[in-house]
Amino acid sequence: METALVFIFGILSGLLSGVIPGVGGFVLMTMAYPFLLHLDPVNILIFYVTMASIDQYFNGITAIVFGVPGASMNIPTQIEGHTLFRQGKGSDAIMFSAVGSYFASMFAVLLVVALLPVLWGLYGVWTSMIQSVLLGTASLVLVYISRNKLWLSVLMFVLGGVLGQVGYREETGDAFMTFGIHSIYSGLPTLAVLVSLFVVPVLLKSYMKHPGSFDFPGVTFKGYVQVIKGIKSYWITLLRSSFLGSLGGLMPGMSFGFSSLLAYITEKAIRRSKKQYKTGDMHSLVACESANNAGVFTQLVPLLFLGIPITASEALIYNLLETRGLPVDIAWFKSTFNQILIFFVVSSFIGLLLSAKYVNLLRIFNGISINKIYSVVFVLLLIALWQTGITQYAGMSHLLIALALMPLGVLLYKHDTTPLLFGFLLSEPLIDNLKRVLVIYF
Amino acid sequence: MKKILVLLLLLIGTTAYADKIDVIKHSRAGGLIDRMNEVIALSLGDRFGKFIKVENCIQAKQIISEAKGKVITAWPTEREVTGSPCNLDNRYLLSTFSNSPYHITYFSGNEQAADMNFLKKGESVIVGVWDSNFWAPAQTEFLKTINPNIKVVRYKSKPFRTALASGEIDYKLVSFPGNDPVIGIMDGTTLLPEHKFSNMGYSMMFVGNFFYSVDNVYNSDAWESRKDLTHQPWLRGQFREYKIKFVEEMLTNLSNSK
Repeated sequence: METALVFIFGILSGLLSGVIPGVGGFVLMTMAYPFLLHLDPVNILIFYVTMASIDQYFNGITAIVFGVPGASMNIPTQIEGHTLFRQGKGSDAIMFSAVGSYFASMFAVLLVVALLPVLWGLYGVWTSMIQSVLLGTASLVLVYISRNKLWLSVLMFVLGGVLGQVGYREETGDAFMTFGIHSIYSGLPTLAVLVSLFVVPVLLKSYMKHPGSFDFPGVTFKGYVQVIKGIKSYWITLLRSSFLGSLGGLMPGMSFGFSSLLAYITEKAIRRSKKQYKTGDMHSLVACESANNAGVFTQLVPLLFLGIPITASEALIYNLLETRGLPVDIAWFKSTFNQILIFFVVSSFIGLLLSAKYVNLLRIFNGISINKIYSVVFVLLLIALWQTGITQYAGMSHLLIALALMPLGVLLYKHDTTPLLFGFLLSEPLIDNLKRVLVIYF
Repeated sequence: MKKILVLLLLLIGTTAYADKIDVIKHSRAGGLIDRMNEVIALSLGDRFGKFIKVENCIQAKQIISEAKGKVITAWPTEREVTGSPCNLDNRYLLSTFSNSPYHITYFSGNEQAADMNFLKKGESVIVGVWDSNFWAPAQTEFLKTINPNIKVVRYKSKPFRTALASGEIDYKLVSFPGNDPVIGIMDGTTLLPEHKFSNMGYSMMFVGNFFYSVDNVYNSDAWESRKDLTHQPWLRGQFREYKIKFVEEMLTNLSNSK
């Protein structure tokens, strides 16, 4: 009975964290902490798996339909998916993403089962050198494939890197560009940067250049059948991105957010080299969405089999389990694997069904001016920013930081600001890895 | 009569509310300090109010000094070093809290690293330490005294977890070794007992905006069942003034290693 309730609660939480930008799994888990504290330990894991799985399906829909990436990993979804939506291909974008995501989830399950005997060997190659090469290559490709002129993309990446360094580092005792303002000692909040320097320019550009009405024909069962038949032509994309996404989940320090970006830029670079890429590319959309879902499952592996939590949410789970005073060891984690696997497979299927069924509710917006919808979305984003900041007693400061950065976003609205954003997100791990490589190898 | 009863009820309610103690969480979720704050919260039992989660130690410091309600938290000792923006006024330092010696661990199955001679005489030995400008210089000084060929690499949280498994480091210096085998403990006796940092350990203070005895935590079931068993009560039974003086001297010594 408890398991069934937890499962339903996990589905609802995944729905919420997927639909509301900035409210990620970690925020919801923190809010649900007192409730989780009383659950059976296996049910805590089931809650997390269900929530994370459902979250991925709905995160993508928000990015495609409203142009709002719920988290940094959905930026590529926004770029390709929302363009497709504006071209009247929203239904296809949603259905291909959902089916691709489901395929990737199952791929991840099979991959994990196959890799179990050689898991430690996999970690043996995960050195700082490999991480630096991956991060460095991704950064270079990202700058190269941007729509901007090369010099502008480089400049944006560097500027993003500088913004990523803002804050006080307790480990070094150094403060960078904090100007004595306490609220930025922890660095600029990711959601504030995401909203001001990515969402605002994109929405503004659409607002200025492509007025029109919200037009979403919806999805149908017949449509899904056609997409399942049509997905065959994407099989190389699916395999490649599912593998990259799975890898990101498995590797501490990489995260599936980064690997979904990696899957996206790989796909985009390949499509560009074949002169097949144009913004609003279905292959690139399928690549990033499937990588996300594959990573959701594989990120459990370090926790379940090595006892290593690799995300903040997992660290919280680990902590919760320990607080229960149980012998939380690898043997216990391994014993839960089969149950977790079943719940993941089931919740993935439910995610697919729910996203298919309830996405049609969005048709109530049909006919409303898209610019009005953007305006409402913008206000809702500010509320989400404030609300997520409140969990850290910093609602107003998060809002003010976003407003302070917004003029820059407005200034750059005609350009592709992804290099700026990824400079912000990748600079820290890149610098950190390079420092270690210098000490170890030179 | 009714009014008196209502007033009494209100009074009881207010007292009960005022008596609640909040615990500030100011560090990485799931990390050592976070776990210790969970222990403190559990030890409070019915007196526990809520967790106040903040992004950094500066915001935590602000809450400690400005909160109207009662707050306590576990506080890394190094934050009390002179010049740290997180340095708390001595009046908020209720006591020393926990201390654990650093353990030198290696990856299970790494036979080369399991040999003490490799640590002491190996020509290319790499040791990973936590990325901290405060602790790392003293740790480096100690490790280089053991073997001048030791290279010290600083790690942040996530990559540190798999650094041993990846084989890019031979040893790891941590206060809580987990399941990794331990080759040496910096407890002042087993490794270079004459060295000034031979008993260097990772420690925490117990801080808050009202007097609350740390013994209440030590005597609780939550403390008994804590995961970080190498963390023991620190200077238990000593006077508060002695504890603060001890910490000040320790921090001065460690700072001089920079």
